[in-house]
Amino acid sequence: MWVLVLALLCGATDDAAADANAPRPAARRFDPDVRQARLFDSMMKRADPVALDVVLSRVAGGLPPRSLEAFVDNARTYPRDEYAPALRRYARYRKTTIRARAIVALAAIDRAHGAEAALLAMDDPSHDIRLLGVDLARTFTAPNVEEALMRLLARDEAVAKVVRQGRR
Amino acid sequence: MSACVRAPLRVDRDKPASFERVVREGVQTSNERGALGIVLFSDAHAVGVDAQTGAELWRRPIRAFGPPAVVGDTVVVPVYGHRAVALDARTGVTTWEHALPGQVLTGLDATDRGVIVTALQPDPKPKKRPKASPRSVVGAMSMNDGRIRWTRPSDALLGVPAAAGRAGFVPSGDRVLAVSLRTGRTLGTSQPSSMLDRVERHGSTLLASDGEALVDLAVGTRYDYEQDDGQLFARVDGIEPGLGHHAGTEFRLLPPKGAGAPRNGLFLGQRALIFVRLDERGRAARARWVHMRQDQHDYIDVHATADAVVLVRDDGALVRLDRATGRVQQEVPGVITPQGAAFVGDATPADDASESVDAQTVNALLMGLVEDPDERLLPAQKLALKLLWRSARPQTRRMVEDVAVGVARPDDGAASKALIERATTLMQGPWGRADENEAEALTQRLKSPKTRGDALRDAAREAVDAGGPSVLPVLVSLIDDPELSATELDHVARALRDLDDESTVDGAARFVTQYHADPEIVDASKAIYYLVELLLSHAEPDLPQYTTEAARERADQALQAVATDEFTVPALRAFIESHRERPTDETVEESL
Repeated sequence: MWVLVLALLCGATDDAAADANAPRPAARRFDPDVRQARLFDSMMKRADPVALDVVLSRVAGGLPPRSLEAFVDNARTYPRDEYAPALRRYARYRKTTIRARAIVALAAIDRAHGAEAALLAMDDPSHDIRLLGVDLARTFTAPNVEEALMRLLARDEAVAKVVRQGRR
Repeated sequence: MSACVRAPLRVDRDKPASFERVVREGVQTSNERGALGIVLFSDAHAVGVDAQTGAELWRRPIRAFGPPAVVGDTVVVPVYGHRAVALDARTGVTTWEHALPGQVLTGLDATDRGVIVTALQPDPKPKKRPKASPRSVVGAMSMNDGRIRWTRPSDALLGVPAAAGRAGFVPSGDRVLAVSLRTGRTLGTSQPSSMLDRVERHGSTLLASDGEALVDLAVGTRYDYEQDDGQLFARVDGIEPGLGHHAGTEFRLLPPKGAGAPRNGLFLGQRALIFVRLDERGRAARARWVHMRQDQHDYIDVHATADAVVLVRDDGALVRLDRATGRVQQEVPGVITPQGAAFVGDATPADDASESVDAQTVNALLMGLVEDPDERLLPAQKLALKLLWRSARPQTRRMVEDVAVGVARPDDGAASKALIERATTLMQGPWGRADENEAEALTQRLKSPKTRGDALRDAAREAVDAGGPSVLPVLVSLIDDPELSATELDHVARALRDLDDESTVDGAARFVTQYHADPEIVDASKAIYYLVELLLSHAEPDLPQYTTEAARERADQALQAVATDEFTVPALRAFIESHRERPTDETVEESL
């Protein structure tokens, strides 16, 4: 099942987003989006108050595609509580890959956020993200997460089928 | 008289069995088809006039004090002295004259089978029952000679009766009793509503009024004719008000050409006349046309013929309007100053299906009516407000908002306050043709994940045409739903733009801020452009009253941020800049 998840995280599903895990190429011509994405790489790694303030204010103003990918990917690599509100918002983004990456980044913060991410994923309109939710639910167990998982398996035959096959 | 019933009228002893049959039989009688005849009543005379020329045909010294009843060419007029006079409307000849039953007339109506009369009657034993309520009496008179056929006393206060076929219909408390015009025997009872004060016949429809709603007695269905707007029937408490009209307002249902409930009506409010379309539940849905006098003359009565609407002005002039358009065809001077009128002859149902006046003109006329400072027009203005609010077009409904924010009626008179209050109340409820239940059902439909594709498109459009405040948060939550396709998102965003409600500004600002820099999302549909238009409308409203300060600030802030963000999709930035107010020359110079 993780193959699907990885495919989602790499943006190989329905979105034409670039592979976020690949090193960002140097821009041949000036691209402010790429420049901001690089800025996010360094600032989110640094994560001092000034850097965090810059990142969060940029995020609040809305991000172009590269910067958005950089944010959710770095939020997964360098998880912090402060990113949670923005990640929750991006967990409802219109692009499936962004939602998947935001959910995984949210789950990376701590167990409580992991449970929340599982619930968000299991309620997602995308089949693949619901499968991701099943994996997150198994990792971040909690009574309400288990209940949600049971409900999902009861109502979503496609997900239940994949889960049964995974057990075999 | 020996076969007649004299027993007191007591609803609890009467059988309800055949009431509906009696009503159905009664309203089946044919409509009048002769030439139109008009009788005008002043405080001293009854005058027959030619409907075409307005010329006086005859004049009689008759002092009418209540609304007359019409049977064929005969007009039965209650006159001072507690008597009734039957006149031939064509010649003015008295057919008969006779004392009325009781002592103070409540109301009367007639068919060719007889005249039904309700009246107050003093308690014969006042010393024994000093605190007893006044007694009423119901009786019937012969249409041949006016002789009283029978009377029946009642402990309950009786309302204004109606006659149809062989029966009289008498409101008593919460019931209507059908009594035989010939014998006084109770033919049936019905309990259509509470505290009924009047039964009226409108063509083939017999309606009972309780001051709140009207009940169609023929089918037992309670129709919402919303008389509160027009005070269709004033409460009478045992005594009929005025002569010919009620507090200057009159509502007439127009009988349909075929079977079924009436779908058109005329609302007369002083010097304004509105041809009202009714929906399937009898609610005033829209106006077909509006006629309003610009002088200060009032109309005192109205009558619809097959091709015209005839109005009697307070100076006796006859005004003839085209039934299809409401345009004045003819106006002839009067011969007396009338207080009321009776119409005989032509009452042929007409096919009122055509719409000869475009909706925009009708709405402009309705708004003109609302803006008129004449306080006597208030009932008609309230109805006009409701008709504007029932429009499917948000631009038309904006006129009601103009009233609510005090733009249309800037004075602080009592009528203006009443109109502002009415407009504010309307704006808090469902709009378009929707009622509370329909708006709630639509909200649930929009919430359902099954409502997608064309169904969502239709539901979003319906929210604009006929929704309620509860659909707004659902529409906002839908734009945040990633499951929606670009096309579906388009429909929802467009609905939000068209509804233009300040409560949706925050959701729109959130969406625009989140996606303005993502070309894939921006270019996938027009949704973000619709939402930008919503923000523009609130950031720079035509009038400050059209939005709230919080919504204005939020919209302005979001547009400013998006317009100045270097990552904003260029087409979107250009769209915002082209729609925002251009800086004045001075500002440009200062910036240089």
